[in-house]
Amino acid sequence: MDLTLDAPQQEIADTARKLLATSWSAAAAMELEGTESGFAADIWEETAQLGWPALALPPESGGRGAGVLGLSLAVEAMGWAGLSSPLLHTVSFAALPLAWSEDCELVRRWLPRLASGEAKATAALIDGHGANEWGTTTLTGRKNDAGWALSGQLTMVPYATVADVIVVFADLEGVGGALVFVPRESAGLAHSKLHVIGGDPQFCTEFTDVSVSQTDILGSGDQARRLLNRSLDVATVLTVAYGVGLAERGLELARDHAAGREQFGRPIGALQAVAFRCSDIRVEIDAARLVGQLAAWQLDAGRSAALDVAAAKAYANDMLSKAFASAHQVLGAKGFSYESDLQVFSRRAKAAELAFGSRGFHYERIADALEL
Amino acid sequence: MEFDFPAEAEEFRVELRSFLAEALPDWWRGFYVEEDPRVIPLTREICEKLAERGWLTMQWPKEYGGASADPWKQMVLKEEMWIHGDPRGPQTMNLSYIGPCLMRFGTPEQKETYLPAMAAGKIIWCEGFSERESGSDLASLRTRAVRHGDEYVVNGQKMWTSYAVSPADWCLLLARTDPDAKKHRGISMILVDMNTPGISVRPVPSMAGPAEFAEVTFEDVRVPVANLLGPEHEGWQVAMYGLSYERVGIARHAKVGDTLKRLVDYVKNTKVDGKPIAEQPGVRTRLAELYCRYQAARLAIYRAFWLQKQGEGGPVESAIGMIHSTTTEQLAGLIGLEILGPAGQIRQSDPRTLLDGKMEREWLVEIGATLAGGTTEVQKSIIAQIGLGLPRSY
Repeated sequence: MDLTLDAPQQEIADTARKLLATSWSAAAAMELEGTESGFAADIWEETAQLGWPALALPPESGGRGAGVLGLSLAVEAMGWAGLSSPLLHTVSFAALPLAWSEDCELVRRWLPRLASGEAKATAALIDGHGANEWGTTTLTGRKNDAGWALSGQLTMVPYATVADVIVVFADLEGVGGALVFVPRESAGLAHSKLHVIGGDPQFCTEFTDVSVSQTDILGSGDQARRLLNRSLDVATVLTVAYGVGLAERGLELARDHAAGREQFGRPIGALQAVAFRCSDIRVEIDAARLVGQLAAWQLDAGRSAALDVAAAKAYANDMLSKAFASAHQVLGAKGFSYESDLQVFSRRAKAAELAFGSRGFHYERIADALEL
Repeated sequence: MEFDFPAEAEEFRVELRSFLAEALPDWWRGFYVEEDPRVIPLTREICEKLAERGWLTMQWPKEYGGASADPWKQMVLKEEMWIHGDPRGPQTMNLSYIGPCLMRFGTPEQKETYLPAMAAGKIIWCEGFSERESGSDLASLRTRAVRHGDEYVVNGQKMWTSYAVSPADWCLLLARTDPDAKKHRGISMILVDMNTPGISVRPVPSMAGPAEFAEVTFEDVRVPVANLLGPEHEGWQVAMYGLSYERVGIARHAKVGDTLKRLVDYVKNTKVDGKPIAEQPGVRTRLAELYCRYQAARLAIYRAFWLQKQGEGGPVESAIGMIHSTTTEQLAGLIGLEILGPAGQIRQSDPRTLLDGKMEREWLVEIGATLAGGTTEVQKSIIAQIGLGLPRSY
């Protein structure tokens, strides 16, 4: 038992903070929100050069072997900086499941490019109102000459216009459920941008007879669902880390405001009603980080982590909603306005909270895991 | 990072559980029960048995009668003790922080006098800190120790003093030795023999039971100056050192884990209107929430404990750990009572009680958890001022 970061982990965290403190800002995040793709190629390049897409991959797949836990440290720094990128989906839904699989043409085609950051991936997993990424979509594949023709409409697909490959879970005629890697240039794909609270690029993606072949399939049946669930575990834990980073910045902004803003002739942070809001955020962030790191560590140990992953996300969701409610109270009208950076982190925190399962959704998974 | 206990610690847990299964009689319901004259003698007996096995002070260094045990073995001991209703009774306080205070600030003679008897499981301490007018503002305390030659003459009254009615053998007393200095500066820590003439103890009944608290009055109590712990007038730092241990001294999270298991078992096996309680969505949600908070408290305590063991322990991590562990233990009792319904109120002392009265005790006794050793609000002030650098509010 050792709840402190070891030297290589500390280095990942420090390097990530250092890079993003100089190369990224909330202002840059705001500017990016105004673009169609929502993708910043420069910062993607820089993080790829630092080896982030390969951090969690095992050495035999050309990775750094730092595990989900190692990657989560970089992702936490991204949250702290207000940087969203295709990293989370690229690693969770494409690079890692390829690395977990037997060598095949699909692995050779995609894994080296994904690991180097030359290629990016996304995942289209939500097909409508009320659904989240953990459900099964209505995307279907009808048999055709090449293999199958995929049809269906999926929503909340991040970075759909810049991802080189879209990972989907489709019901293929004659096969059943399958994990399919759909190349970006495939005919029949259409994306339309969604306007969302978080401000990161999300699209509605329409599949109209998109042809895929046997070589685009990573797994089918139970094996495909197992791979996808494992990917969802990873993505959920990384989202927790991202949320922890967002909240850490929210706390910094609240603290600075409480210390510097004077009313009634003294800093408002001298009022316990204000100071305790800040203390409460600290108390919750620290626990959310530890519970998230436990889940990441369990995944890296190759154990069944369903309970810990669910607990991490349920806890983080609760933390995010409380932390930003408190931060907003501390910053007052300023934090609500676009004159403060808080609004960037607050909006993204809501997006992180809603992604990969709400508190109630994960409470039910916990109840199941407790055999209730 | 590493989230598993070492194998050696897990083996120790098995050994300890089998010891407790044998050593604890059927009537044992825990230390915090309503009045039962068998409790204190049993805790003395258990402490002596633990001492014989080298477990009582396993966390202490070898030179002071301990075993310099692996920190995670120490945590196992804390966890199993709290799950089993703390059968060390009042002596828990000796082991987790009065001992460390003596080791850190005691003279060689003091260490020689006090530590071996504590390591043998034969001494009960009480802590003379709070007064009627000095609670969260502890440094405003008024109990006076006036130096006359090589003696202090102590006058004053301490309040909410736990275990004084056990009776206690010794008292770790905070008293004002310099009334002219600033309030944090003129305080000294003095080791007082509770059998000294002039000390009277009056029980103060509380929700936790008739004999938990006491009011301790000192009237011209003469204490040798040699009993000063740490430098004269510098007792505040000794107290703060001790409190940082106290705040994470109890493995409350372990009982939450145990309570959760009992509740899961209960809701699966108890039917209401023909259906197991476990099928009620509200119950599932509450137990899932408790699981999340249990993990948070467990890890926050492990972190504070680990940092402390590495000599990096800060008051902020201790405060965070304490807030999580105390509020989560309270939540466990609350959810337990919610699940049991109106009959959950039936006291442990009534044979018709449910779940051995554990929920009733967990809720009622642990109201004090967020008060003792510094309230939650005091912890939040520590986090705000020391952790976040916000200005003092008082």
